[in-house]
Amino acid sequence: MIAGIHRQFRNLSGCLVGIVVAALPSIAFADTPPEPLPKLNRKIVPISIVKTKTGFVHLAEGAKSNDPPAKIISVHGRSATDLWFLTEDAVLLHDDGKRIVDRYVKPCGWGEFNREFNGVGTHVFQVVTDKDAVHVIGEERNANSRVGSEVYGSLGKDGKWSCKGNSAIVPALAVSGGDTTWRVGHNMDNDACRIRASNGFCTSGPRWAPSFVEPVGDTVDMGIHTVALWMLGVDDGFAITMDEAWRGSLHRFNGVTWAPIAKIDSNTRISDLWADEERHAWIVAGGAVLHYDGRTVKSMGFAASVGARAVRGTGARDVFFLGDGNMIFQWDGARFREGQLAFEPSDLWAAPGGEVWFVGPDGVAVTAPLSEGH
Amino acid sequence: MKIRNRPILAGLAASSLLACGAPPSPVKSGPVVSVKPQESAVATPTQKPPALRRDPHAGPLGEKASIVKWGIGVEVKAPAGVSILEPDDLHPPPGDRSLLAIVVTELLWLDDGNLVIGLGDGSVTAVDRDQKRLWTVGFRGAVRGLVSTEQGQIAVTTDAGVVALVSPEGKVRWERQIMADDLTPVRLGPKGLLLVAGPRGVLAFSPEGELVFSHAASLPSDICCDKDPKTAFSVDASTGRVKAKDLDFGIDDPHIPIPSPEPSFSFSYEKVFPDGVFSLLASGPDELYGIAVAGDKKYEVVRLKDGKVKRIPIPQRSARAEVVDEETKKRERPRLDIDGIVNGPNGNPWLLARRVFDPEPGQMYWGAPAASQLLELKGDSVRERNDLQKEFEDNPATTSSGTMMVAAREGTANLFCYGYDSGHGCGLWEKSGFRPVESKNKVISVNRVGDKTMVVTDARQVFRLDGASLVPVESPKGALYGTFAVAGTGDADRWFVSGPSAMVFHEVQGKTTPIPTPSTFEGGLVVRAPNDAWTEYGAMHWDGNRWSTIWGAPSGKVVLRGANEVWVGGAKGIFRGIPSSLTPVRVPAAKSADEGALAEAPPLTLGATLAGYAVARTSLVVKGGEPVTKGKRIAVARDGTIWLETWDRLVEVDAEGKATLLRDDEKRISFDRWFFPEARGRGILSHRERESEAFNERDTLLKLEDGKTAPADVLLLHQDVVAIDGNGSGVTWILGTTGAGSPWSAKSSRPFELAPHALVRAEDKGKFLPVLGLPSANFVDLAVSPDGGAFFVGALNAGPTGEGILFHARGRLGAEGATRYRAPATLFGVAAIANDEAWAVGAAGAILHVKGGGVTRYTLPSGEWLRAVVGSGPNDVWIGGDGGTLIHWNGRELQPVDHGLGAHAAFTGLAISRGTLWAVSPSGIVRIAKSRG
Repeated sequence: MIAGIHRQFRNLSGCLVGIVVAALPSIAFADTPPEPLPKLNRKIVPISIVKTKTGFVHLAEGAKSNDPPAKIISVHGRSATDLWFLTEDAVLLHDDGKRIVDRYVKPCGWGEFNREFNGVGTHVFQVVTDKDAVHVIGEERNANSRVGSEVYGSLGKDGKWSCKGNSAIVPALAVSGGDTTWRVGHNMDNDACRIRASNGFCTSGPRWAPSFVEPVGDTVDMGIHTVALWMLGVDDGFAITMDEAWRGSLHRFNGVTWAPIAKIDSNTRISDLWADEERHAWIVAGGAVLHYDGRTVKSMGFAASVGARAVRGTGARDVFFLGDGNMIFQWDGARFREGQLAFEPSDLWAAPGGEVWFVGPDGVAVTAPLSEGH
Repeated sequence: MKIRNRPILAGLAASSLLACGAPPSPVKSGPVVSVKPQESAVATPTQKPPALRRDPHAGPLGEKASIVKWGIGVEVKAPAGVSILEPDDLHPPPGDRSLLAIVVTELLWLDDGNLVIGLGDGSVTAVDRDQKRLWTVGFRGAVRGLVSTEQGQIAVTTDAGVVALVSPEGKVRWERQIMADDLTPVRLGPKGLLLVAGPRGVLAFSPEGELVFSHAASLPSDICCDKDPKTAFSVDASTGRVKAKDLDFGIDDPHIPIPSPEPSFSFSYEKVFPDGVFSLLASGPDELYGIAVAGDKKYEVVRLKDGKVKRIPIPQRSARAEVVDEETKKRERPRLDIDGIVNGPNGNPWLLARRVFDPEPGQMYWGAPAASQLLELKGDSVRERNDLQKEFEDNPATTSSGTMMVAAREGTANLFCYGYDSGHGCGLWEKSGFRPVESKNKVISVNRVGDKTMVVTDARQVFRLDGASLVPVESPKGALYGTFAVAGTGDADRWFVSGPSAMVFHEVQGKTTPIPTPSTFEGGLVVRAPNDAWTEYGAMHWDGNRWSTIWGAPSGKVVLRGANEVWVGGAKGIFRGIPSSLTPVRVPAAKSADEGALAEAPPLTLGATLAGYAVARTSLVVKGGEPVTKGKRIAVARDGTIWLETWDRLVEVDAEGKATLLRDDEKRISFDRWFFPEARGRGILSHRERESEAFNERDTLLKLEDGKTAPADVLLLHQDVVAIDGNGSGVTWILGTTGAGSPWSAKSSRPFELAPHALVRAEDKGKFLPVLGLPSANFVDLAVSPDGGAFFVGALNAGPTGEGILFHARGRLGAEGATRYRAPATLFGVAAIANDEAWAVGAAGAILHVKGGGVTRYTLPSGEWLRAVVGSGPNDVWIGGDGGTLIHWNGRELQPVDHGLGAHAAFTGLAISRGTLWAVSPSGIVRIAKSRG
């Protein structure tokens, strides 16, 4: 699941914290009137994965079933034949593109999740794969905790689960740059390790960075949230933070520190972030789309009213966005296009082959590969 | 509080205190020598007090300034309209691009219409009527006070104990850091006296910066910020009266000086037992017991006797089954938690323990039900005693430490007190068993004072045990928080500890005198003789004349075995401390190369791209591991051996280019220079236990010999090690900082602010000695010069912004003189080119070139953060940093280097080995050498 969707923002501040981004451009994006967009020219194929009495079944194309949908909330994978789905009930499904080949039901003995009562219980919300393992992340909280402890399971290539979380990293979200999975923690304690890679690399988030000189009390960052992250490696990545005054900042990592690149208007809810192969960042903020081209951040003129809330892509000329309800949008390098799914997606994943997968509790769909699209 | 001459004061130390290092200090550093109270140097005031002319937040034209919520700016209301000054406008380039917050803390409007603004990073900035920044000058600590003096100067105070006088043009007239406490704003006294108060007392300076007197007093820790007119620090300049909560004295009264926080080096410690213990007991002339706890709370008694160690297991569960879970009524043997060990009344060691039951529904684990329990060590086995079971059942405990059973830890325990505030009691051992002793309040400590047993209750009252009764003992008046503990050798020599303050009360022959201590008292006292007492946790020692902080003292419970023989048992083991002849190295008081606020450095013009060099991207094959393709830090030994840190490994590269893994357990986030190779397979490095939490206590030093590491014989105490460097001729410096780490830690007290920040060794096999005299700063890097001196760089504060510092200590071990240079921003790296020449680089493109006592400052036009510098001579200096910055100085100009790692690379380490430059970065490693032909 795209982190920005599930995240619960809590104002935990109460600290004397100000924010200064020296000489940074502030990105204001007017809600331009929606213009009719050309239709998506990629074929979208519905996929049926249902929950049966005995398990989960990936139905053949066109097949019908009265069984309920699998309630998939997160998708990731390595290729079109190595797909991983996470269901709302904490079941991990391995799919070869045609059928479910493995399932893991609450593999680390995870407990129940009480959605109705302050999010108490074990809430697994995201699956992420990299070359070494499949990672499932979540959070466990009791009724009194503002932020609980990490729930983490990692399925290695040997088929064994490692269920050791890290108390210092209560994940807000995780991303995979392919080789490595990165988890970012809430800024809730004084642990300098805020962003941890699956290979052990650890670094700090913005405002708690691995500086040569570490911060003083004035910078106590209880109120600062890293709300979006996309890592390109140990020496490059993007993150967006929001401070207690709801001011957003886009930062870039260089292997040492996070340098602020741009401010984002106050009270703009940041939903998601993704970086393309040109190391340019795509940001979904306040329902609109911002683009960092390596020098400046500018609004893409994509109306906030369409309610963009998540972004992934196969390349700089094939960027997909989840919009309001079941709407999806694509940037094809020159313009935005729009399409519609039969369900409201909660997550999307762009496969290396160019297919883009959409999942939600009520359905699954995949685009045709990029080569077949145009 | 009014202090008059008393005989005991003859033993008190005057404060001979440290200066920040800016202008020459009129106050000499050195041993504390005064033996009588200082007589005031100020005559009885006759003139009228200086009147505050107007609200410091109001300008001469009626303008108003106020701090915006959270300190994120300044709102200025002027006739022309309202404007907001953002912190961006208030600062020169900030110190660390990743750390953003700067908060406004103080405002002062000058008569000329300029507004002076204090910031949380120690910066003081003046802006003109158009809100244009005029100047900025930095100090250690967050600015706490800005006050205009009668002469129109600006008196600055900070929460790190700095007091300074600045001219309206930004020149620093003088700057002092006498103590490291959070100070009040300056109050103006008669004859231009400037007075400030902190938790340890009051300081008075002349307008020229001379310390006129210090007056020790136990003031609230938040005196800095008390604005209640009844209790706030105030000075009546017409009468010379100085007042605060529980304080009232005249400036011409005698003063008990505040003791210097500079530590004493009078003891050294050797480790005699490696594992952590939490209770220690001397049971005989050559016998010592401790309670050790292994993983999963497995307790054991450790007996040290005749140099041998015996480990004796303790039952992990009580002997009998009880109802552990009230819901299920299931009977189990409850878990035993051990709280301490004392000399039992029957001659055997007794253990104070609690039987722990399951928490009831809704109870947290720290408040689960428990019952007190006594155990006895007999021979080599521990058994339960059931003497007080009925009393323990009637007065249950919990798992909270506040309900632990207490008994005397010195001498023989005969009184055991238990329970908590709503149900408590004491049992007195008599031959036939225990006899109840009633106490109105819960007893929190039991102490043997000579042949008497004395207790302190949670009402902070003291009682003496008389038969089976507790008889009140009068506590000293003036104790800020009441009495917390009592100790002594007998009725003629008693100590009363007053809460968490820097003042204890010594009663000698019935006469009580307040004695100031160099840092805040923690816990109680252990007293062997009238001239030999220790704080319970071993940090401070009383030698009969004064209390001093002992440098090198491990933290733990103390027992005394003989004259000046102290044993300390704590988390890092058991240590034996004996008198030491260790003499610290002292860097002389520094002269300042700058008058104050710096002029804008001119932008640097870069020459043509460097030519005539070959650049090669490098990958090192390491046996048994992935190739090394990226780096964080690099250092070179005199024989050309390279040590290179990747994010998870430290590897050695020998002259043939063969790479060997040295360590793979130092996965650090920070970019400290924590290793120094001396030769192939040999060097010094620091080991960090954890990256977080135990800031300033997390590093130990290791020696590497023949590829094997062993603990070094010294620690850089209460500091995080940030850099190690040597001059290739045996002189090696190790530099630390106290400000790194947790944002919370910088807010707590600063007991080691004025302690040694470095160690130095004169020769390869020599002993490291602590170094005094380095200014308090958040140091980042050091470079040792050929003469054995060193250049130190860093920031005045632990980020995020503020002024940088370059400090030069000249001559062998830095003893021949010192100079301080201001820098516009944090400095991250320094390279010594010659005895009096160095290059330093830092944030926002800052470059300093120091030569012959002069300094030239540059700013790189790109403003990139510069993180490393190295040079082989005055015409061969390399600088690396963010944004792909790698430049070379050839003696005439700086030339950019085409290195091939791209414009995003951040060079974090540079080293020259055998004529080849190694430039390391998280994005790759390049080697650069002059092209042949």
